[in-house]
Order: sequence, then C-alpha cells, then structure tokens
Amino acid sequence: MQVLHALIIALLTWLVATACPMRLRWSMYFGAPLVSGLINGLLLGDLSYGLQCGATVMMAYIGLVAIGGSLPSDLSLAGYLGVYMTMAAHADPSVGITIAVPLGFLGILCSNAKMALNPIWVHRADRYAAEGNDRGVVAMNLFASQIVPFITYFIPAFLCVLFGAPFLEMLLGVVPQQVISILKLIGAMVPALGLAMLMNMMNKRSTIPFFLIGFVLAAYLKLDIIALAILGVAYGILHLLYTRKRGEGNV
Amino acid sequence: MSEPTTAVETRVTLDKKTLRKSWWNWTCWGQICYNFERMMGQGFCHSMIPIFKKLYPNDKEKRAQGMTRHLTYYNTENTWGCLIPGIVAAMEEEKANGADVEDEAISNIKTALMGPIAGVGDAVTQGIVKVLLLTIGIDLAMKGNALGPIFYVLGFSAYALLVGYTCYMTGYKLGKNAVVKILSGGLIQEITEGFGAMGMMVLGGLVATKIGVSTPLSFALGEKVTEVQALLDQIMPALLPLALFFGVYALLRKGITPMKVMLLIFIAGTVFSLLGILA
Repeated sequence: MQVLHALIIALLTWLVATACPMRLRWSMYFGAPLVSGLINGLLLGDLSYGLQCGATVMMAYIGLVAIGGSLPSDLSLAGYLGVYMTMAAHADPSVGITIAVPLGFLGILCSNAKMALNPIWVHRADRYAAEGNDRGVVAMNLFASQIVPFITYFIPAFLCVLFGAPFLEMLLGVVPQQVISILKLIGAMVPALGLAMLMNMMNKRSTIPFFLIGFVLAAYLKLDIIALAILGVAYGILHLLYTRKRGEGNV
Repeated sequence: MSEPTTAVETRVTLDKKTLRKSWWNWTCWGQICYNFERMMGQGFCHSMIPIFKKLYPNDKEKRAQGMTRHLTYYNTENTWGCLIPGIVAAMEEEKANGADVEDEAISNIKTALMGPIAGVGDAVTQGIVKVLLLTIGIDLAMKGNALGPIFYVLGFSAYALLVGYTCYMTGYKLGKNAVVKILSGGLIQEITEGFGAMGMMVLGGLVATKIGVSTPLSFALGEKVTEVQALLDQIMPALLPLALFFGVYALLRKGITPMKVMLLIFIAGTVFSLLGILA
C-alpha cells in the first residue's frame, strides 16, 4: 500500500513538474498543494484533514508568480510531497507550510538542474532539424527532456514517501511548542512574499490607486474576492475610458 | 505582399485540422523541454512541425530549413502566447506560396511580440485568473468541500483551452491580414493597463485578508490592560499585514531575490515569535 502511495505521489510530482501537457500543468502546478490535499486526503482516508492541509499550504503560495527564472519555490515538490509529509506526520495544517517550503527550495535545485541540462537535447534537435528529421526533433522534445526531471523529481519523491514519513513524525513529536508557534508565524508571513511578487509584476504608477481601493474594500467593508473582481472589471473599463488618448470623441 | 497574385501554381492552404494540430502541440508541449539556453524554443519548433509537413510534403530540404528557423530562443506566456504561433503559421503559409516573406520578418515578429504578450498573459493568467480561482478553491476546501480543488482545476483548464484556442485562430487570421504591426503598438498597452487596474484591486483585497499576522503584545496601565492589536485595529484594520507586505515589496524592488526574501522571512519569523512580538 505504501509503495502504491509512493508511486502515485512520485508520478504526480514528476508529471506536474515537467511532463504532462502544459494546459493541465498550469492548474496542477500553481494549485499543487490544493490538488494534493484532495488526492492525499482520499489516499489516506481522511478527506477533510487533507483538504485543510492543502488549503492552508496553498494560501502561502497564492500570489506566487513564475516569470523568468525567479521562482522562490518549486510548487510541485512543495505541494505533492509537502502536503503528503504533513499529513503522514499527523501535523497541524498550519505546520504544513514549513514542511512544504524547504521541499520547495530543494525543488528549485531540481528545476535548475533541468533548465541547465536540457540544452543537450536542444543541440541534438538542431542536428535532427538540419537533417529534416522531424521525428527526431519531437523525440527530443517529448522524451529526452524527461530524463533529468525523472531523476530529480520522481526518485526523491518516491523515496521520501516510502521512508520519510515515520522519521518526520518522530521529529515533529519531540519539537517543543515554541517551535510550532514559530512555524505558524512563518506560515502566516510567507503569503506576503507571493503577493509582493505579484505587485512587482503588475505594478505601474497609474494603477496604484486601484490597489488602495481594493485594500479598503476588503479591510474595512469586508467585501469578498468575487465582489472585488467584478468591481475590478468596472474600474478597469473606466480606467481605459478615461486614460484613452484624445481625439476619439467619447468623453 | 497582401495580394496572393503569385499563386499561379496550386496553392497550399493550411486547413483547420493542421492548425489545430499545431495549436495542440504548442499548448501541450511548448514548455516541456524548458531550458536556460533557448527557453521554449524547441517547443515552438514542435508546434510548427505539422505546418511544415502540410506546406512542404515532398520537400525535406524546406522542412529542415523551417525547423531550424524555429529552434531559436523563444519565451512567452503559454496561453495568450498561442497568438504568436498562429500568426507565424499564417506567415509560413504565405512564404510557402511564394510571397516575399523573409526569414528575418518571421523571427522579428516572434521576438517583437513574445515580450508584450507575456506581459499581458502573465498579468491575466497568473495575476487575475489563477488568484481568483485559487481563492474560491481554497475557501471551499477550508470548509471541507472536495469541490474546491476540482472546481479550480476544471476552471483553470477550461480557461487555458478556450483562451489558447481562440488566440491561436485569431493569430492565424491576423497573420493573413498583415495587421500584426498594430498589435505591437497601442492595443497591447491598453489591454495591459485595463487588466492591470483589475489585478491591482484584487491584489489589494488579498493583502488585506490573506496575510494572517497579528501581535499578542499587551501592556498594563494601572489596572487596565491594553491589547496592542486592538489599538492597531483602531488605527487601521490589517495594518500589520500591509506593513509586512510593503516591507517585502521594498526588498524585491531593491533587487533582492525572492529566494533570499524567503530566508529572511524564516529568520524574522523566528526572532519575532521568540520575542513574543508577532503571532
């Protein structure tokens, strides 16, 4: 049973990190902890605990954006393996984030190894392309590209699930309350990073007022996110209408 | 260039099936061999292979040139980025039919558009759609509802497929009409601006609600014990989260990498928790 579980988690970690179709990867990767909560909840037979763990870890990564190569955390390992380890150690959901984050750090190494070594296959593809061999190019893209990720994602995840959980449970069993509350605080602070990255990506001087409006609506008036999004559409349209260059006669 | 007067011989046109195959390859495998040297270059080439097979069924040399042409550095956002292979497919079709389309023209279009489109795509996909769907998913999951993750995955995938397909086919039409230049001009700027306003509003709301930092500090003045958090709430709700957010933001603006900021948060969290200043 444990082997089966290890296989499922290792496969997911690897597929979502690199191998499955991109359109599916989008959701499975950026929502890894959330999805992992559901899957591990089902596998371990405690759905509501799983969903709680998943949602709590997910919260920390909600604003995480992948632009260029500056991801602070690899969501595939952090999500699929991290949530599993949390649950297997019977830890409080709020501790999950501090288990997930170090795994996410390691995942960045895996991801960088892939990014650094994959040019090997691209150079091969260059050769196949020059020969007009389209099958060769496709094989490089689909299969050769998976050699490094299989080693860096699948194998570690498999071993961790197979052997790691009892060890982690023992470790968490002896840590003092003080450490738990430190971990909880860190978990509460980490979302600031993701959201700040989002701001860094979208920020333009002209849209800062909308940040303030959104903050006030949520902090003072307790509007939920859907209400904010609908208002956001309205403000976006108004913003365009009022900033459009003159000479269109619709003011 | 716009008049297909050169089509004296039999003209090869790309049918829907070929275009769909090309889109499918891009939307599935565009990033599978992501690497530091050419980023999504090989994925882009993969998406063009069905096009070349259709355009040059009996000319291996032309197919080889085409594939080599598209194995260059390329990086954009995957969903809205479907626009570009669509445009390029149309240009390749013109080229195959004898129109005067230089190799450089094709490369230039790719290079000119990949940045701006990634800008719009990242802001919309990662900044708005992802954040909204995740928020709903998290809220449902917190209440123990398994539909949370399912709703999120289905919603996001539907978005990626619909927007991606529409963008590819729109790109193909645009490429045929040679109005591509407009895109790199004002239109993209406007779209970015409008979505930017919406995204920033959602972001403001998230800062107010998703950073769960508060202070357990309290002090006694004579008989009366005053909770510092209650005091802060009177000044402004979510003051500490806002301060933390801008602190982190300032670090990022200074060019400190997210990785280091994460480490800093670990250190700061430990110190503040031990001192009993934050919880």
